[in-house]
Amino acid sequence: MIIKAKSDRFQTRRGLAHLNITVKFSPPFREDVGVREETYEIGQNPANVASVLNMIVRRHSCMGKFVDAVSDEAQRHQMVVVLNSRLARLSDEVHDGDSVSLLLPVMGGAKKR
Amino acid sequence: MKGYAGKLLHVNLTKQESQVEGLTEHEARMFIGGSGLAAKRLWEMTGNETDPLGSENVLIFMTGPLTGTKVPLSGRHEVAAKSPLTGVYGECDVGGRWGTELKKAGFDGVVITGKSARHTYLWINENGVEFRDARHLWGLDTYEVSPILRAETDQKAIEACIGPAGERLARIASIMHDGRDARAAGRCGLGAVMGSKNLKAVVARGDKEVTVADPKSLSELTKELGPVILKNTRRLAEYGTSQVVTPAEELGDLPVRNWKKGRWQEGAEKLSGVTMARTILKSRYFCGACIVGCGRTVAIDHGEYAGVEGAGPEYETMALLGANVLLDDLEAVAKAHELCNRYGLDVLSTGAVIGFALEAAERGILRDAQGRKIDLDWGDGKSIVNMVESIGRRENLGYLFGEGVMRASAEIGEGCEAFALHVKGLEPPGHDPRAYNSLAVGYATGNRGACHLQGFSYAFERSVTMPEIGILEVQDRFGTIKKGELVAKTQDLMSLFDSLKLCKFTLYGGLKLTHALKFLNAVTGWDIGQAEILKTGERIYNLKRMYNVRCGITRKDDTVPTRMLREKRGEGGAAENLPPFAEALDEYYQYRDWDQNGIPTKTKLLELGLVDAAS
Repeated sequence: MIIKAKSDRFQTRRGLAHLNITVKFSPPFREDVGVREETYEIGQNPANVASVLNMIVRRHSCMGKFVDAVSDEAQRHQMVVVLNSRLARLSDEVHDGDSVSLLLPVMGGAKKR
Repeated sequence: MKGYAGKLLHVNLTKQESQVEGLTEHEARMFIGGSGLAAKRLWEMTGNETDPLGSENVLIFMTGPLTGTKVPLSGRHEVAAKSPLTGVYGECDVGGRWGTELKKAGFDGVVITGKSARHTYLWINENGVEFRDARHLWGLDTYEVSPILRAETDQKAIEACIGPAGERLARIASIMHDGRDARAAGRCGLGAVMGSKNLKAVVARGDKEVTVADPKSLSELTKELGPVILKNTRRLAEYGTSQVVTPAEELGDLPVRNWKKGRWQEGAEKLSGVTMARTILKSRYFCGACIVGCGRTVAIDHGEYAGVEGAGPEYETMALLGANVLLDDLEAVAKAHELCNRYGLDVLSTGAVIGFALEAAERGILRDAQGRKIDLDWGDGKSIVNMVESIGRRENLGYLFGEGVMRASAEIGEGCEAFALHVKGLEPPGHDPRAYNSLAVGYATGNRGACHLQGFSYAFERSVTMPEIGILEVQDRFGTIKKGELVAKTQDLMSLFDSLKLCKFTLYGGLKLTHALKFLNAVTGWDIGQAEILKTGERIYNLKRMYNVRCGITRKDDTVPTRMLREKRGEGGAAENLPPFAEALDEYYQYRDWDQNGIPTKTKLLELGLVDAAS
């Protein structure tokens, strides 16, 4: 029981630990948000790519039109998300120190800018 | 026969004679059109003994059943011949409006044999073909010749023509279409084939309607899919193909410094479609039946490169004449692109051979006729533009580089073959197999050499799915399992697209095989099912392979440059990745039912109905 309680406390502490994620914006998103790169501190752990996208939209509402979390395919039509050099799925877990790059989709369909 | 003109025009330049051959429904259904029908004719009319620059080579222009109809993004045609660059099967899928004009003149294709005694151009219209004197056009570039040809024939006519590079038999010469809109049959040196025949241009114009079997269904399908394609390709419309320069750089896909480096971030941003849209872009260009308009029309009205006006650089230009030579001046790249168009040079091979030359110069092994070392600097716009000019004119070292990297490296020697990147003689396009694992096997087994379009497999490792061929989700680009199968499946699929004459960008628009099949059946009135159409794609790909086998191609030729297979770049989005190769190639052969030496088995050929190839 004691061991379990310790384990629970440990999980709780982990749950509160912050993750630092670097987000890189490629053109033309960079012009929209006004920065090349920024760091996001995520209080939720574990977190996934979809939650990172939501945080980006909270900080930069102009990015909202490029996020379509209905499905991976729908998202890829709006914006390509690369997690540590790999094309990411919305459900992919992110870890402390990860890098997320937002790229223009190969052939996408966001609303006309 | 609905969807087809039902006629092939045979032109003998030696005899200055023409004949019309009827196209049978059986042949059309077996090989569809475009790439498939061209492959069949090339198989029948040329072979191992054919000199690609001899009068016996055959130059084929072929439309597809969808060309000239209302099917979105279908205004395309194929050009094929035995390649003087590779010595094997050569073909190009071309956009623009020439194919539509030919079809509306009443011909599905033109098959050109022989060699004219004098410089000639062909004027094809609804009355047939005229052989016309082209002596006054010889030496003119493609932008200069276009208005003259239209004035001499019909202002609405469209020409396929060569520039000085093709006239002077550069093995990297292209055939250009649509004047300043410059749609290229770029790869494989087919411009040199045209030049070897003393043929300056083929001009086409027609008003005949392409009749379709079920106009109502076709209209409904077009109304249903058109808006979907339009929605999904808005980015492509807005920024053109070079929109992917920055993503390609981020993912390690962009060739940098003759395929040596993995990062070029600032340079990529300077050459991106976004930058172009904000600087030199004037308007968009639409191929026949296109609703997307990814083509770029640019103009530069001041500065060192003032006067550039017409088709703007594409992604491949930015990759090979930009990143690969470290040239980050957008206007200089646009100038180099225009010079390639004017001289009739393949932009990709030209950029690749200049990248090779720069590395040779850097290593001190590039010398002039007097044996003096030549200094060339990476990223020097002026000297790179000058190199394009000298290749186009075939002057000085430009003569050698117009032969492509394989021959140039053999001539220079001193170990430079190690950084002369090509497959079967064709320089790779601007996509790195270290960024998309399927590309290694794709380049090795591409029937025209290193080609990203014959399989287009990397698109399925990036954003595209195709449930009809079992690709239910986007594939892992660094994955190592079943890459051979992926390549084989997509090569067969793209054989169909190139035969129907459907733009591959429809895939990014959301078009699936099911839709393509519905279009084909509505146009032709056939009832082709999925199994039959997939078998047809496989038949076409295998026939081209057998053409190459007949030319001596085996496993030993199915290779990828060592730099792409063995050298990690250590930086960028694919820093540590090397693509799997030998096992993937085995798996590819096995999936295709080819033997260990890469030869299609007799059983497979008979199953595909390629009886002649099996015997």
